[in-house]
Amino acid sequence: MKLTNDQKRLLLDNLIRVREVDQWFVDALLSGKLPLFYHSTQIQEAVGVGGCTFLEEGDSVYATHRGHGISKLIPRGVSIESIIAEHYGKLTGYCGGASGWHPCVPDKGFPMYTALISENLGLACGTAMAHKLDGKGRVVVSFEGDSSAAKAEFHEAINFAGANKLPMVIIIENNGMAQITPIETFLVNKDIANYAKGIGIPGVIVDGQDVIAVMEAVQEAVERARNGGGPTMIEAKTIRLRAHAEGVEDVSLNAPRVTDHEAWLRDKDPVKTFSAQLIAEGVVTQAEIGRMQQDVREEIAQAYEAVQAAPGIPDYAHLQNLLFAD
Amino acid sequence: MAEQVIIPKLGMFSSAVTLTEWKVAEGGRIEAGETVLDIEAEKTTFEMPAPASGILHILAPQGAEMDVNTVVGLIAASQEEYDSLCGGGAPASSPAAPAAPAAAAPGMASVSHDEGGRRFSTPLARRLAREAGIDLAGVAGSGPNGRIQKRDVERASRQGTPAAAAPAASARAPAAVPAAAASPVAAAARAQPQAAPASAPSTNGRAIRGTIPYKGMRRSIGENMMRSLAVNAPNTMMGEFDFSAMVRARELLVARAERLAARITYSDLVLHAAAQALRAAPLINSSLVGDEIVIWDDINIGMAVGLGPNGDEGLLVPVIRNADRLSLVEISRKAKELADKARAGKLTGQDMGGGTFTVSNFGSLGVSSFSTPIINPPEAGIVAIGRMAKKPIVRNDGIVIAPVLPYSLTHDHRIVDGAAAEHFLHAFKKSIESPSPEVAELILA
Amino acid sequence: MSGKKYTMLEVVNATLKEEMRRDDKVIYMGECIAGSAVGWASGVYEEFGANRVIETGLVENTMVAAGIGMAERGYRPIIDPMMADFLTPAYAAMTVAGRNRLMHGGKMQIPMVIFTTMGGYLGLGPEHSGTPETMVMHMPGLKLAVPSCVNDARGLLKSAIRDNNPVVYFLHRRLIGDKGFLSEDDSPIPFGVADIKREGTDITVVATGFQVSLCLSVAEKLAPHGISVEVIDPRTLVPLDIDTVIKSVKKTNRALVVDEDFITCGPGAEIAMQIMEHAFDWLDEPIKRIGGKGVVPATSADRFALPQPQEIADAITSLVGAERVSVDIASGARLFNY
Repeated sequence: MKLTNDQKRLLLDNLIRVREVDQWFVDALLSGKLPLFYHSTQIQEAVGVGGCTFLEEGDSVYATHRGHGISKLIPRGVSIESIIAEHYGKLTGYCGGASGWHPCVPDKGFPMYTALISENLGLACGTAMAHKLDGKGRVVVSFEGDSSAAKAEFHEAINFAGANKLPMVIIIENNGMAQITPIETFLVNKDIANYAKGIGIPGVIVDGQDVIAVMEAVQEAVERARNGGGPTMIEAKTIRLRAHAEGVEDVSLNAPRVTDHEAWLRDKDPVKTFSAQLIAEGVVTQAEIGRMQQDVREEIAQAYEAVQAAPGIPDYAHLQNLLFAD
Repeated sequence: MAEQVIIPKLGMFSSAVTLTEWKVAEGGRIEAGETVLDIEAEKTTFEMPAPASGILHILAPQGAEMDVNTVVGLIAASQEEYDSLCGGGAPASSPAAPAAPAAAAPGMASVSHDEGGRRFSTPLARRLAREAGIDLAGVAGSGPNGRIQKRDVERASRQGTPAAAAPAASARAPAAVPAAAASPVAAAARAQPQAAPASAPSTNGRAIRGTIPYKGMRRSIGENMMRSLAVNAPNTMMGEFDFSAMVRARELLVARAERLAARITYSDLVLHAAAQALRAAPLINSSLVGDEIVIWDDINIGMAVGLGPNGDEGLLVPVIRNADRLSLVEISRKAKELADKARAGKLTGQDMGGGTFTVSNFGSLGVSSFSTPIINPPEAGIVAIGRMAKKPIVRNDGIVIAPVLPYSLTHDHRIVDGAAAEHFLHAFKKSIESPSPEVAELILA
Repeated sequence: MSGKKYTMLEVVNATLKEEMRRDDKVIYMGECIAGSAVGWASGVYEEFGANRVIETGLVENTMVAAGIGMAERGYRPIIDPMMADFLTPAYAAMTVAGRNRLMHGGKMQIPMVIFTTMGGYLGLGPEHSGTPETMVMHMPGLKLAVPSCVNDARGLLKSAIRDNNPVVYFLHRRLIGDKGFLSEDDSPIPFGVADIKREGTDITVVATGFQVSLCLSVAEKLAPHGISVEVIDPRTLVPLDIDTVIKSVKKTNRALVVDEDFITCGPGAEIAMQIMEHAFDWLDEPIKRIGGKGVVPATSADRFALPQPQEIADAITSLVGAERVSVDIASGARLFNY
């Protein structure tokens, strides 16, 4: 896919917006301001941004808990205010404050979400089946982490998707860590795309730090799906910068995880590398990047103020009424 | 001060009533004079009018058996008064109450708890006791571990266990002699603590085909019968009357039914004849009251009415007052009216009370000729008429076929001996075998 | 109700087709359904084709999860995993189905049906005889319909399919061969409305599924002994019409709950507790419950683990204080005489 300059700027803006929101959540939690947990997605943003920026309206996305889905929500136009409000249990959150963090925004293409790993693949198969029956060429992009590949639901769902030629793109964000356990301890295949090939659907590996590479691989898979070619798995190799969750010790098995923050932030940070690339291409200036950052920071600050004033969930009865539809 | 709804004493001998139906629910409004409660007293039903207007607070539940003169409900004049009745309520189980009279049944209290002194009762039993104003301390439990259950509370309220609540004095109705038989039974029940919980009766290996509850009218009749036999000295004389004249008279009377505005039956004729006979032989129209035999001036004849389509679903005996002063047509009309009321369950206390002699006609129902009818206390005699049948009899030294009416007269030998009974039977025979001038007049008119 | 008797199979089949014709968003999905292994769906694949009848393979979790996904997009899937026992791998998806709407602020509805057979008495053994009613009751957000007869099966199935929420519909396999009357009125039977299958005055018996038939047979045998049994069929365990049960207990003062599910924390436990909560002052006897013993052996030995008519009769006679009555009622297929 040949990108225009505007599209490139859009990709960069999305990366910056996601990074800023992520940092805000980290700071909020560490300063005791956030009433919930947070799982940072810093330096993994390219996978979500690359995968979602050029999807069409009507396409569906299933996110993961990494970054609470912001690298997918923000490129698809979900407001920062509704994201923060949800984390504060406010009625203005995109789930009315009931979930706290689930990346579920049906009218922006996020049909639902469960925190049960790999279960989302089954749900995604349903959404994809509906798209297939609708016959309007819509697709489902379903993100999963690496540990998902160990689970029964993973294999059952992907096989099901393949057997039924569902319009699905499964993107594995492989950052090598399953909470505090490195994936080598429990996965036979370190290259998760091999599982796809074993099941019988196309499996592609890309560099998850390269937003263009991710985007191109995803778009190709999306086209295949739209045209009835069935599902594809894209494994994006990436790195988890911070601990699994904020405030949790960053260990691997029983020892501190071996990390190289300095090198990663210098060489592997997609915001940094893509900014540098676009500046070199003359698509954007440092000043413009500065403005992008400033804009989103202001937006976040305003959002936070609005969230503080917003009403919270009044009582359980309010929720109980939501249990069943009429 | 809330008005009390008190069970009235109906008829001479009623002592306990069943509260068949509260006409207004708990907390509902009732106007003075409107029926507030239906009760069934032995064999009569009665619609109790509310003594005042207001809001009803029920103390005894529907279906309960309560003694006469018991307060079963209260009518509060205002909502506040009603609320205070329900909230504070009749302090049903205050153990301080035992200033209560006599048979406090102390023996029973020890049964319904374990060694630690705990009493067991079901939630339902507790609520019923509370509503009826009964202190559970005075109730023996028949459930496991002496658990007090609904049936125990109901039994207690029937027997008039002293309640802690103010006006619920449950004195037995003073009744004539027969009732005395009841009290030794009741006293005995109170004196003995019930040992084991009542369990289902043993079948001794016999399979059960079905069960019918022994209560209501059936029970009432049964207990009356037993009481009767317990107090009087019954002797039965049996015989047959030549019914030819009556049969002839009836044919002619039936032909005149429209003109008489009455359809005369054999039963009417027999009742009329009995009334004449009692006037001629008044000794049997009496009762033993204390140390005196009282010979009644009124001749009030009870006529037995079988209920149900086959006449076998219960028995009521309404009374034709002053039967000797009524014409045959009046007797006929009265008998029909009472029989209809009996079958419709609409007999009043007035209809039932004051009998001095009873005539029972089972002839139309069965195949029997003779029986040993049981006296209706405190009467001195009862005659039962059997099935009329054609039989060969001797007349003028010849054998003829004639309609024959069998009779069985039971008399209370304490009051009336055989000779006096025969005296009555002579008069009765005469009235039947040679109908009175009155009847003749009716026929000729 | 009178007239012709219909078999459960033909009624369910006719109802499925009727609903699929009525609304083309209704999709029938599951394992071994194109050829209709159980028989409910015979002719359905032929009539509606592969776009409306989807053969999924033995993927219970994915079929339920996919059902959720499709329902959110406006389809009305009926998921058939063949047996309630096979649902265990799908519990993750079922819990998600139940809580999905509430935890996402009511932003979507999930109109799907999990439709399958349940129950024992056919000697099929420990993993083909399950009655996991409580499992479903214990997942908030799932409704549960448990018909006991042909007429109710029809009306409840229609309601299940037309409900905009996830509904689990368990049809007892012992009733598959059942024949029953159908009422003139074929409208959907509303959920949360219990049915008094037999009126009585001495004791309230609450039962579900096949247990209703057993309790009715027992009640008939006890009637000549003067014991009047009221049998209540809740028809749906979620929502549960406890009001009808309470009204009955206030009349009879005694209660027995009979269910086939494992008795520990079974539906009987929930119903009995609710009776105690609402009708404490009307109870003249402790509430009794009869339930399954848990693991059900195969062949005729399943009778040891499942409620038996004599057990039900004994519970009733002991509660009403009557002599034991021997009832000769068959409960299951007698495969062997031991």
